[in-house]
Amino acid sequence: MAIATGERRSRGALWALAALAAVSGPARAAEVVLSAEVDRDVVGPGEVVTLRARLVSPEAPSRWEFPDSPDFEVLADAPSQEHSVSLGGGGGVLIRQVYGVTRELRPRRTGTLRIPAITAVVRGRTYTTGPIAVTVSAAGGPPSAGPAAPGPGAGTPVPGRAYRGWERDLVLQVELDRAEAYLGEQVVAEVWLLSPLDLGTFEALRPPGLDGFWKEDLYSARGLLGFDVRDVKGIPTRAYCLYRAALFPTRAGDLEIGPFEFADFVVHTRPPGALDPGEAVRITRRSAPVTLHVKPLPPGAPDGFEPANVGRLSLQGGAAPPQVAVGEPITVRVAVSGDGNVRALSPPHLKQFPGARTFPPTTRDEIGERDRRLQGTRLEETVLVPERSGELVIPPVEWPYFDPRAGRYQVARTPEIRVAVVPAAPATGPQGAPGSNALAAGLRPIRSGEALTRHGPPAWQRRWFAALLLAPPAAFLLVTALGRLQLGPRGAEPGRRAGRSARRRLGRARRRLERSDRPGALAEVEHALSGYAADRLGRPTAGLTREALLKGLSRAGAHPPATRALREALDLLDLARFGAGGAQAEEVLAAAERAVGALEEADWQPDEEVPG
Amino acid sequence: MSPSIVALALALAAARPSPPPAERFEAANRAYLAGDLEGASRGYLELLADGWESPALHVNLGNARYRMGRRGLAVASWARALRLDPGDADARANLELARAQNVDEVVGAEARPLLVRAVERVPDGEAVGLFALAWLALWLGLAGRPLAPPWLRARMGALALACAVLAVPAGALLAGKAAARGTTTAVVVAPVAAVREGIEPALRPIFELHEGTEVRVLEVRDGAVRVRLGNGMEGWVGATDVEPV
Repeated sequence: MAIATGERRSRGALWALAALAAVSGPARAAEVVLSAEVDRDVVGPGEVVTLRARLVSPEAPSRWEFPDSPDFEVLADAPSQEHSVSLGGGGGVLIRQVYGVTRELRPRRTGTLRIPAITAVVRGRTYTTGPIAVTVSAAGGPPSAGPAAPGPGAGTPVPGRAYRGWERDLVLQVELDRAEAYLGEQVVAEVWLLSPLDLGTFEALRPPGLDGFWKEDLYSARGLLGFDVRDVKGIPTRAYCLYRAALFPTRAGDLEIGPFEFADFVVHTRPPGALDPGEAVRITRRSAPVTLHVKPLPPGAPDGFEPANVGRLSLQGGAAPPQVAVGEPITVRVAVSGDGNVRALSPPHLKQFPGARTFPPTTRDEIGERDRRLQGTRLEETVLVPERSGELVIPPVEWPYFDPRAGRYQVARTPEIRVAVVPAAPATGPQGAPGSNALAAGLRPIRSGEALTRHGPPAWQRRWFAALLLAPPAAFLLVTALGRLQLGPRGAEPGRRAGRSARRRLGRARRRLERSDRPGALAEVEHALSGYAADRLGRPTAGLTREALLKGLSRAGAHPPATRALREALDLLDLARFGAGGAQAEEVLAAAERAVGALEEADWQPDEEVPG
Repeated sequence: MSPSIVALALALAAARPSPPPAERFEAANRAYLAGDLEGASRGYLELLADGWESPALHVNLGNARYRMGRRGLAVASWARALRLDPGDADARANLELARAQNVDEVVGAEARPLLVRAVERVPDGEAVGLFALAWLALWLGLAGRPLAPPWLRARMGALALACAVLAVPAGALLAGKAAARGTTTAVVVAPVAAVREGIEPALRPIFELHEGTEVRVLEVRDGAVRVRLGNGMEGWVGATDVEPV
C-alpha cells in the first residue's frame, strides 16, 4: 500500500525477516507464478472492473501481453512492484519479487463478457493466465458504497491483503437516536466507522464543536475492539462505535451536528497471524452532517419552572435524624433523578419557614451512563436548626419540570416531613445564649474594651505621609543651598577641602612612619602643609619664602596662632629633614597636625588683615 | 406651643450628642452576649457607618453575622479585621472556621507567593513606621553630616548609607501593601450566585458560586461584578450577591 506508514512498517518487517534469513540459512528463489483476478465479477452497465495481474518472479518480466478486447474500454493502466517474504515449509525464507499490473476496465455491453488471457515472458519462458468472465447486467452488482467482493464468509472478513482497496469502503457516519427533540431534551449522538475488514487500532477522533448544544461525553473508543455486524445494502459490514455523547439542545430550530472528521488518519487492520503485521492505511473521512429539529417547549409552563429542568425525572425527599434537640441540625435531602441534563438541573430549594433556621444548601451530583444515555441524580442537602421544641413540620416542596416523552409539564412534590424536636440541654456560657446555633461551635468569643479609631484611608494616602516623603529631601536641599549662599568661593568650603586633603596626607605620613619610612613620611608632611597653604591662597606656593607664605596666609584670614603653629611645624620639618640629629618625625607630624587644626579654626575673613 | 418652639425642640433633640463610641460598642457587645444578635449587629454597623472602626469591631460583627447564619457577610467582616491587623488571631481563626464550611472548592488555585503572604502579614502601621524611620534618618544623616564635628562625620555618613539600604526594602514593602490594598476582594454572600459570561441576566450561567467563597473583583458595571476565582475562572455575578472586603 503506497502510504508512508505502511511502507515503513513493511520495510521494517522485510529487514527483520532478511536478518532472520541470514541466520537460518541462504534464501532461495521461488518459482514463477502468474495470476489474475477482478475485484467483482458482476457489474452494472458503465461500472468499472479492476483487473489485477500478479507475477511472482525472481526477476522482472521481459514482456507483458494484454490482448485487446472489444468488450472492454481500458481506462487506466498502472504497473507495480513489491517484495514478498514468507517462511517456507522447509524452514527457509522465501524472498520473492512480485510484479503487477492493474487495469481499470469499463464494459461496453451487457452480457457475460470475457477478459482475454494475460501473458508474461520471463527469461524467455511464457506464462499465461486463463480468461476471466465478467457478467454485466442491467441490475448491476454490489453497490460501490459497500465493501467489494466480501466473499462467502462476509460476517468474518478475511484480512486486508485479500481485498486491495478495502479502505475505500471505510465510512464514517453520525447517528442520532431521534430526528427531533424538545429544547433541553437528551439526544444521544453516536459516531460509527463502517468497515469491510476487521480493524485493530486507530488514532484519536476529534469531535467538532457543537454549537447550540450542552454536551456530555458518554463514550470515546480507545481502540477498535468490539463491533456490531450490520447489513449495509445487503452486505454484512463491521460497525465500530467510536464516540457517544449526550446532547442537550440549548436553542430551538434546525441544528446541525457534525461533520465529524478523520483527517489524515491511520487505521490498522487487525493482524491475522503472529508474523503478519496487518496493514495500515492513511485515510481522510468526513461524516455527513446530521440535522436535528429542536422544538421549543410548549407554552403554559407552571410558576417556578426553569428551562433546564427537562427530562424523564423524579423527585424524592427526606430528613434525618427523625428526632433532634433544639439547636441541633437536621439534614433535609431533596434529590432529582432520572434521564436528563442532570448537571444543569435546578433542584428545588427549601425555603425559610417558621420554627427553624435554614442554612444555604449544598449540591452533589452522581452522573453516569446507563442504557447508552446520561442518567443520574442531583442531590441537594439543606441544614435546618430547629428553634423550639415540638414537632417540626417541613413543608412539601414542589418542583415543576417538562417531561418530553409525555410532551407536557409536570409538577413533582415531596411529602410533608415531620421531625420531633425535644428541648435542648441548658446553655453553659455566653456562646450558648439564645440565638446561637450548631455552627457557632469553635467560634472565638467577641472582644471588648478596645479603642475605636476613625476610619480613614491608609497612612500612605494621607497628607502627612506625602509631607514625610517630601519634607526631608526638601529640607536637605534647602540647607545645602543656604550653606552655599552663605559661604562664598573662598569661604568654608575651600577650607574644608584644604583641611580634608591635608589630613589625608598627614594620615598617609603616619602610616609611612609606622612602616619606618621616615623620608617618605616627612615628604608627605611637607606636601600636606604646602598643599594646604596653596589651597587657601588659591595659587601655588612654590618659590615663596616662608615669610611671604605666612604673610599671604595672614592676609587671607589666618590668625596669628595659626600662622605661628604653621611656622613651628615648617621649622621642625626643616630641622628633621636637613639638621644633624634633627627632630623626631613624630614631633614633626604632631606639629603639622596642630598647625592644620589651628588653621581650620581660623575665620578666614580676608578683609580683616592681621599683622603676623 | 408655637411651631417655632416645636422646631427648636426637634433641632435640640436632633443635636443631642450620641453616647461615646466606646459606650456604644460595649452596648452592642452586651446585646450580643444576651443573644440579641440582630441588635448587636445593628449596633456594630452603626458604629461603622459613623466612621469608627477597629479590628475588634469587625471581629465582633463577624461573630454576630456568623451566628445569624450569614456566613458570607461574616467572612467579609473577619477579612476586614485582618486587613486592619494582619496579626489578629481571633479573626484568622474564625475565618478558617468559616472557610472550612465552604461549599465551593476552587480546584487548581495557585498558591500565593511567600513574599506576598509575608507582606500581608505586616500591619500597615509597622510598614509605614519602618519606612518613615529609615527615610527620616537617611536625610538627617545627609543634612547633618557637613555640620557635624569631624569625628562624627564618618559615622553620620555610615548611618545615612545604612538608612538608605533599609529604606529600599521598607519602601518596597509599603508599595506591596498599597498594591494589595488596591486589589479588591469580595465574598459571595448569596446562598447561590449564578456566574454568567456577561452582565445580562438572561445569559445561561456557566457555573455557580456559593456563600463564603472569596473572589477577586475585576470590574463593576451596571449592577454586576466581574469576578475571578483563584484558579483563573471568570464571570459576572450580581452586585448584591457579593460583599466587597
